[in-house]
Amino acid sequence: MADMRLAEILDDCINRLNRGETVADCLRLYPEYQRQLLPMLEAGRLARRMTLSVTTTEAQARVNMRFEQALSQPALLRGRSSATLHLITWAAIFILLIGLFGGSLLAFSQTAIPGDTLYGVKQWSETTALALTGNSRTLQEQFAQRRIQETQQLVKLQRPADITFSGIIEKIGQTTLIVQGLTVQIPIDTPALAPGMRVEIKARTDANGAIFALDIQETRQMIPASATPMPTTTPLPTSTLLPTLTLTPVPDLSVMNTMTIPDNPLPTATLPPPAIFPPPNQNQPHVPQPSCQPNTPCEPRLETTLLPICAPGIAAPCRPNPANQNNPNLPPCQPSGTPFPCVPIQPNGNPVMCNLNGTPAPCPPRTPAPNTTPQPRPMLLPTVTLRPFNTPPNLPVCNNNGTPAPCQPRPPAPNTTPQPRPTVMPPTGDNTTPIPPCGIEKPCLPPPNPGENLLPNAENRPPEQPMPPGGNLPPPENARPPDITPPPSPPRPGNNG
Amino acid sequence: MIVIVLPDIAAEDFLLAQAKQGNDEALRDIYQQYFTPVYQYIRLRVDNKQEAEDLASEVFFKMIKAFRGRHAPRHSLRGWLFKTALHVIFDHYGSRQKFTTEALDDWLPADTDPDPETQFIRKLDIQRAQMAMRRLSLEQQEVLILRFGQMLSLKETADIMGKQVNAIKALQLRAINSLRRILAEMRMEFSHG
Repeated sequence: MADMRLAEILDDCINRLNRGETVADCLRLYPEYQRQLLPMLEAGRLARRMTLSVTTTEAQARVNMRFEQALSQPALLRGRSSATLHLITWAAIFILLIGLFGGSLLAFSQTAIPGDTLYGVKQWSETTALALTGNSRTLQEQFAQRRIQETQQLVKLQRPADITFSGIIEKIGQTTLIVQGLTVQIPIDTPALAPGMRVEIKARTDANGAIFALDIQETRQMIPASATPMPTTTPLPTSTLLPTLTLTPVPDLSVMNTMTIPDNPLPTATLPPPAIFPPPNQNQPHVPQPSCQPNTPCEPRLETTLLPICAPGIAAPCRPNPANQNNPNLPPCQPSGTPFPCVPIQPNGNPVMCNLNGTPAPCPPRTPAPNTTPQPRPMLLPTVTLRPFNTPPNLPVCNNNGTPAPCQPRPPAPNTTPQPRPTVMPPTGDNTTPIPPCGIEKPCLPPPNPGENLLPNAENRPPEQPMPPGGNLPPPENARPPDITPPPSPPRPGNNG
Repeated sequence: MIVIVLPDIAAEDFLLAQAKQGNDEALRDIYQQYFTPVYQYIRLRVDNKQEAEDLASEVFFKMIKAFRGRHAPRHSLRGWLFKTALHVIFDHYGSRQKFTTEALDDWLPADTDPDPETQFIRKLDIQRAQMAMRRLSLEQQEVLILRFGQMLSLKETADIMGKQVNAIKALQLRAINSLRRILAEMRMEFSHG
């Protein structure tokens, strides 16, 4: 204890001496330790005296030169340079490690599926990629395909997980959907769905490899490349391909908007032939087809009912025409302002549309529609082939105004088998003219006009039917003469009992 | 008369800051101000004057490198210089190096004092003082040189020697008592002939 006190006093005195006080000053502060402190401080000062006895003048003069040389030596700058290089090296190593680690992490995460630790990294990388590419459609499709593959893997591994994927409904069962090849169990209260719809499904897989839909939303945000394409806008036909009102005098077409006028007198004498009719174009991309399946009744199409009824190649009035604006019965014009062509016939000779009243017409098998949403009105392209009158068609001959000729009712079940060629007898002026079997209204062939050649070119003409010298086609066998008035409406067998 | 030049802490901090910014003039000032104590400290430990100069030069070379690199002293420039000098000595001679046996250049005459012990110490010449100091342990020599000879603070001494402050207090007391005992023995020998 006494030593500690003495050590404290000695230390205080050494500090005082070092601050410039004298030994006497220190002894006055600690008089009781004076006899001990005095020899101790003198002994300590011996070290001080020894230090001060060392002369440094000559030594400093010699070292000065070395110091100045060292100060001006760029070699000594290596300290800073090496430090900088050290820092750069470590920074490079750090960046390299981050790059390698981060890159490896991203690479490993790309094979992750829901439930994996790295799946979050995969989702983050996809979100970042979409953000960087401005929601690239290609990437969206790629990522949507990934969700499908992940779901397939979950099913295969029988791993329970939540996942959201989207796709086209391929088939609908009582309690299941098949979307992109995945069978999804759906709840009973699922809203109405239809094949072809594109849906986003939030689902959960279970340990048995089943997929249970938790939520199904219809979406149109994206269409995978493999999916059935949505209807796209068909390029509009150019005005040169369409008959125009200015070039084609239109008869009184008010009667042409109805189909049940078999008894009306046909204005054959006043019906001019179309001055310009578009030539057949085999390369036209789209010809509207009746949406029906073989041997099943046709579904009347909206656009079909809007079609004008008119003679082939003769334009019908349409609503944008100032004179027809207030007539709701008229169909709308095409965007170009010209009316749609009338009753085009496909090059293969089959009529294109169903009858306006919904009765079946010969039609090709229906292909699955991409969805059940109303399709945009297809463009009715004047891709028609005018059939020569002597070519045996499967259709009855129309009246001169383009309306179907009276015909015999036929069974309602339609089929795509060619109808037997109706026997059209020359008009005899009585009511016993044979009526071909058909629906109430059927597509029909326009009657020939003896004064005009309706064939657009010689290629459409059958080789066995050479053009007569007069340029007029001979009337087909069993066809009515074009210049006769329509026969009076025969009593229909159905109506007659 | 002994003229004691007290360290100016504010000036030392200013020099330290200037030197850190790459000011060569500040480095020259540090050298001019601290060469003498550093050289004296080394000279007391090294027998050869030329070696003491070389070691002192090395201390200041290290100082230039440190200020131009990333190992510049953050505080207590004086303590950093003595610590570097201690490392240089250890690197050159090893840790067993004690005070020099070579005769020092100068010795101050002792004043008259009534206390015989004090009188004896004050009259002791440099050779005998050196002999007495050499009989101390290395740590005892070191603490006496730093605390009395270089007038370093307790904290600076503790930093240089790598010890706690309280350990330095106890060490310096033991060193003084040991030196007194050695001097008493020398005085007895001197009085007996």
